[in-house]
Amino acid sequence: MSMEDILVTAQDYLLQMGEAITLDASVPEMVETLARLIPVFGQVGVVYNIWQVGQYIAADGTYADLTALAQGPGDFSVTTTTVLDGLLIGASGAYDQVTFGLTSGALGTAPQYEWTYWNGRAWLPLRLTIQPTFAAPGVEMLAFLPPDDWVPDVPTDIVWPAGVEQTAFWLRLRALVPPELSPATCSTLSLTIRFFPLPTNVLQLLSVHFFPRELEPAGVRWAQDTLDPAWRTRTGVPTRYTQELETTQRLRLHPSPTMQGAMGLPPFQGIPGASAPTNHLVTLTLEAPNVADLAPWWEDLVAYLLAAWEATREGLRQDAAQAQALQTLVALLVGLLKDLHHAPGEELVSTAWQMPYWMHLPLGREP
Amino acid sequence: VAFLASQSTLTTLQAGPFISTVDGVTVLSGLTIPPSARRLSVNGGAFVASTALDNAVYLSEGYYRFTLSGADTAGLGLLRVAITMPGALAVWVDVVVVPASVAAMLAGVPATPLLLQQTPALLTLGPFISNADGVTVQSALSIPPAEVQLSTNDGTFTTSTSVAPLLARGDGHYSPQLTAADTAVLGDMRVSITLAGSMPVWMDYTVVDQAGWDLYFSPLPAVIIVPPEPPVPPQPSPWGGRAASSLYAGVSAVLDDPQQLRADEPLLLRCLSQAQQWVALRYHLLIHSFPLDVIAGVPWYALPALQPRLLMVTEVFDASQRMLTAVPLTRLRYSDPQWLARSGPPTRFYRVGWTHLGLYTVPDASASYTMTGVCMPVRLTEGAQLLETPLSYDDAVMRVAAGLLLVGRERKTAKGMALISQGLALPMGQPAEEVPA
Repeated sequence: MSMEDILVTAQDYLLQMGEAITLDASVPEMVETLARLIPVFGQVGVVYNIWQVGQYIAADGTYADLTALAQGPGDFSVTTTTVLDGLLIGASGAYDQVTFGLTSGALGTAPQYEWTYWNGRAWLPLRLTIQPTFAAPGVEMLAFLPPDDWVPDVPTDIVWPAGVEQTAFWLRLRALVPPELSPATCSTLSLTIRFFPLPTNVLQLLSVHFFPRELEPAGVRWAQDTLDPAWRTRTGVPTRYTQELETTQRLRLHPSPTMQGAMGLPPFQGIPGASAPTNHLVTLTLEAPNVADLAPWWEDLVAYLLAAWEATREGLRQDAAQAQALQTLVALLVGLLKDLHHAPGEELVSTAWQMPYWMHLPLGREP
Repeated sequence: VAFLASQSTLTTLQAGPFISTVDGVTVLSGLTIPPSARRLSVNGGAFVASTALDNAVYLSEGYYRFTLSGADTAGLGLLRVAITMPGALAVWVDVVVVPASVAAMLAGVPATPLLLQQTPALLTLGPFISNADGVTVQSALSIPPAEVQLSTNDGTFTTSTSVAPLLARGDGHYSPQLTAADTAVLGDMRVSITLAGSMPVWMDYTVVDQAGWDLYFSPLPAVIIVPPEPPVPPQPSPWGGRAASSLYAGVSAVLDDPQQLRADEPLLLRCLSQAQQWVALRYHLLIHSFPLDVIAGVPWYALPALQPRLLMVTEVFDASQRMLTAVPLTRLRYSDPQWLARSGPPTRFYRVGWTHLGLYTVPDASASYTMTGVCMPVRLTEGAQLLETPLSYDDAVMRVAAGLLLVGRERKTAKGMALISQGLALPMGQPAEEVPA
């Protein structure tokens, strides 16, 4: 089964007059529309955060990976004695706190540091609430408000070595005035990662597990914010999760777990797709499936939607009656599937059917 | 007049005469006309360079032979080829691109640019050339829609009803946007634009109805379903199965006028396949049981990979044929917050959508379970393939298939939807669960 089958069927209803390029490009959108109309495409996922750190050499824009030293035994320098050298810190989820375990402070006259973040186009200043001085041994913290335009991306001005996950939420530390004698050294580094990224085709979270316990879903404004206005800063063993900003692209745990990657959660066995020992979040979701994963009867529904959408587009072949008929046909078949959802033995997850587009087909929009 | 060309086919044409801009008389025989100088506009679209590979070859009399690549002729409809060479007056050629079968049928005849009756159309008109010197191509004009004058069947010129400004397409060409009202009358139509400061520009079209349009651009394949006799009853096979082809005649008989049904076998099979699916779904006709190999420690099982035909699981039985209780996964947390970690012999099952089946507790031993669910028929790809729906539902399948054909092929949407509605025993626009069984 394939994209080709969808296009062939759609063309049946367009008298072969559909624009192949447009139809081809619109199929994923139609699949998502169908998945919102009939939210029954489930998926089980394992979600986890990773982070990495590397030395930044300004002269040639290189990144030299220090992750193994930062997450294991050994020390590394926070900066060099050269102007504008520093660190690059990246994580798969957005974070708001970095903790440094310093083994020695910087030696020199009044070093000055600059913290910036990558917004997809440029390095911009970070709004700091707590800034480390790197002046003496001990634990120091960097705390900041995660910027709204902070995005997982690949900074274009960095020369990357092999083996580094380049797409991440990146921070950059630079020594505007470097220590003259020696830089601070660090033995441990930890990030407080507040968000777990989700695959972009996720439509709805059904269940989230911080093994071995399932987390409770919680609202933000009328639940978490009311119960504990400072809940976003809490750390510990998570008991709840939220989907903030009405997005399914990320979720936040409450309290935030303090460890990620290879640490944090006890292992469990038998989760398909998870490497052992597993220590990550387990998510059960509804998604918009890949076209290649659709069974033939779903493909035909997608084809009807596609033909109806194409028929409504402006152009020589505009045919409102055809579009209306196909929309009616899709609505009828969706009704049949919804009816099946109430078959004996079916679970009645009411929220699964309360999708934004349930009551109408979004076929009247502009192409 | 335009040339006829076969869709997606290498086509050789000639253009000219190329005349010197210096005196308007001298024929230019030494031009090098690369593909990039041959600019193409399809159905009023912006100009793009030809994707052919060869330079044009000089013939004589100022004419050059050139080719259009298969990609150049990929789009059906009117193709304007504009060639503007330095030192030469502008030259253009119009081509009507039609499917290969139409090109073969009409081979050699000149074609007329066509417009579909009562349908908006985007044209390509030009080139606009300054009347001061008769040479300068004007590519930066702002032409209001009121300048577009139409004469139908040699009648008086009237202004286009379009309010959309003309789109500049480059190379001195502009695209008027005709409305459905502009193309309401069948016959010849001259589109003329006469601007102060420009040479007059006009082009002739023929407005045709849907049948005429389809003759050029949507040729129908050979008719395979024209049963002069009453439908032949399906021939039962020894085990009671019926080939999909046994319903062909019945589908045509469902129509009032089977002579009008034009469909090739692949299209008919696709419609029959869809009809069988929707009838099976409507009446839950296909319910089958499948083995499920449960693995110790594995709580979830992805169903599409295991059983592609399975739409939704309704029942699960363990190795001892004890039925597991269906529960919503969102309620498991209320009885056991650690339900994903709890291990033991499963007593309940839950669904993650319709694509994953989960067991609670997590199986502590591997075993062979059984699951039952609503299935969909396999897609029909050959006429000899057996139908899966029972014989008593053939009438419903044929009605739905005929309805789909009427909607898709014949554009008789009301009648087609009525047949589908009858076949599924559902009023249109009413949710299924609101209809009494």
